Amino acid sequence: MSVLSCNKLRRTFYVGKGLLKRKLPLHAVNGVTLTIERGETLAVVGESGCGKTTLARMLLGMLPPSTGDISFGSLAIGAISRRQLARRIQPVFQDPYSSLNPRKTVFQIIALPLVVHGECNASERRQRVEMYMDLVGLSRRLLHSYPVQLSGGQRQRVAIARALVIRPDIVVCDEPTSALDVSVQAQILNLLLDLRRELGLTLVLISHDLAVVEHMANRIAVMYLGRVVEEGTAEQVFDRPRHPYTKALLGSVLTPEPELGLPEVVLGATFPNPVEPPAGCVFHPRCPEFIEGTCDAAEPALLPVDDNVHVRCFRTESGPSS
Amino acid sequence: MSTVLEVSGLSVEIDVPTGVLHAADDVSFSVDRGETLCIVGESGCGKTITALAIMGLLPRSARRVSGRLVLEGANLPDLDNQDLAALRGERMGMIFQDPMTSLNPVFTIGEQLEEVYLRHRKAGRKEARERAVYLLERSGIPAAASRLGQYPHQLSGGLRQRVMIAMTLMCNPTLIIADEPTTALDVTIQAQILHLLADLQREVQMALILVTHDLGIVARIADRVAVMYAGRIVETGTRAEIFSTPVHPYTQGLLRCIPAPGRTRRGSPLGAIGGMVPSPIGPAIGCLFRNRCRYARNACAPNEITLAEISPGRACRCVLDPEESRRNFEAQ
Repeated sequence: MSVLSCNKLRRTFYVGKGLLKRKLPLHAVNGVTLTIERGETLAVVGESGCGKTTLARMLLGMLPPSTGDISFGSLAIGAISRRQLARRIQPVFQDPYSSLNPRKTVFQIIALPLVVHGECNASERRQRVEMYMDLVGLSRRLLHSYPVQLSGGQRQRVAIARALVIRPDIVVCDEPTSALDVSVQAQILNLLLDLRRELGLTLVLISHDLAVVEHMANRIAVMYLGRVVEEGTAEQVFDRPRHPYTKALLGSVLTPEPELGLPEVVLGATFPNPVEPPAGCVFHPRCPEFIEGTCDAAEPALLPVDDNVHVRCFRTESGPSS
Repeated sequence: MSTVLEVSGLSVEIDVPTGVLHAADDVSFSVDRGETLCIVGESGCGKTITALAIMGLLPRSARRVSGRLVLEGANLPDLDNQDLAALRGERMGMIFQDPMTSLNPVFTIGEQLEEVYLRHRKAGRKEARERAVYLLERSGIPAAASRLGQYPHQLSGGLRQRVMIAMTLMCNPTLIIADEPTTALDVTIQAQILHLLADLQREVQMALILVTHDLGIVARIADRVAVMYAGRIVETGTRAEIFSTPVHPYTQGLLRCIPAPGRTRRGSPLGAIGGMVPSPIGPAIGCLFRNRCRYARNACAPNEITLAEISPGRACRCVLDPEESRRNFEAQ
């Protein structure tokens, strides 16, 4: 059963190049359709500027979409209030140094969603906060500490406890470990894996770290310039990437395999200017499998190529690419 | 191969309100011509401070209390500021993490590149300009000549880092220190920049010290590796040795922390290192990793443990017998 779905979601920003020049549209997210099933972990990956954070902000209700719609189960996002929305979906942000209020104690931070939603009386609230602190592995003696007294890993645990305390359906993690050291990253990833198993949590993981994504996700959506170019189960996307961009992205990941050496770089040219995206397939100027006359003429659609995999590429439309 | 830089017994202290912070403690290593040494460790382990100490760019609050830093026969701490400034840019260069802030926003790319050359060489502007264009092209920047008039904000992050690399190469230095050169960049750009560094290094046979927290980078580019923890080097060895037979429990822990295809199963728990890095403030005795180490024993606490050679070119700072350590790692 899908808990969250979005249909042809689009968000356009208008950016100016100068005081008197006309502002130009920038389609940060350009027609994204996704569904998220209960209990699964969907990872959204892509380079900076591909629109993954804008997508996350729209799912969280922090940014209204320009067109398209988001629905929770059978309810459209417009039909529910901000407050109800916040009960269903909660964020964990990248930087635990700036996402916690430095003037509040750990207890106040974690209890705030309970206060806002008028859940629990004071003693129950204390109990609930302590329960979630135990769950995320925070010592209870930190209850009255301030964020400045905590390490990066502890702060991220506070952020996770705050997200979970009102029992949302979905948690959106935007780069949850990229500000942390590797040994702490492993602790936080293990925690998210445990929580997923124990609470049946549905996760949306926004990340540029493909090693982390491969470890965590059931399903992957690869984004490029505001579009989903490949979407499928983790096994399919990682073991058999079809879109040339996915292949390049996976090929660039530096896994700790000393026998491999540096990967060959296949992506030509630089990231295009998102205000003036290339004609045809937006990836074609960098694509090593570019077909002249086809890829620069029209934009391919996101089509199913196999069970559980959708790809936006002319090569896979006309038959499986090698 | 000739040794370019030899660091021995480097200790750096920083005065903080609550005492003395030991940022680097008895750090020793050397790099040869054409060799890539990766210094790897987590934040606060002293890797950047070590790099800055070599360059003579320590912040005012920090001081080098001991250690020799010998660059091609000259002990850097013996030099006065003027002589050191003459070496910087000429014989050793540094690439910083963030190309957004390490270029001067009010000068053009061309002015910044040429300045290095004009300062150190008795050469004209034309020659400097030619060298700048050559190196920008060599660094993979399209339309290099037209970029000279551009300002840093007109370039993308990847291009800025290429400019930084070109700038450090202007005078053909024998040593380059790159401090997290690709952390601020996307994965596809990261691979390109590392390729560029490796190619250029092979071409001019310079020594490269790459400071990073990313074991993936280390696995792909290092010749030799030095693992740092809490201001000290805990293990050194070749890339193959460090990744296949790590001896120090911290190195072993680090390797188990990262997801690796084939070694870790999707969705299975990663081997996290419990606990936290001890406070670097105040006197530190014994092994600093012992409070997080699963093999800790009585011998770890009271005595200073030295970085002992366990085979040629390979050293470890641990009381455990190396053979026992290897068996521990394989048993897991």
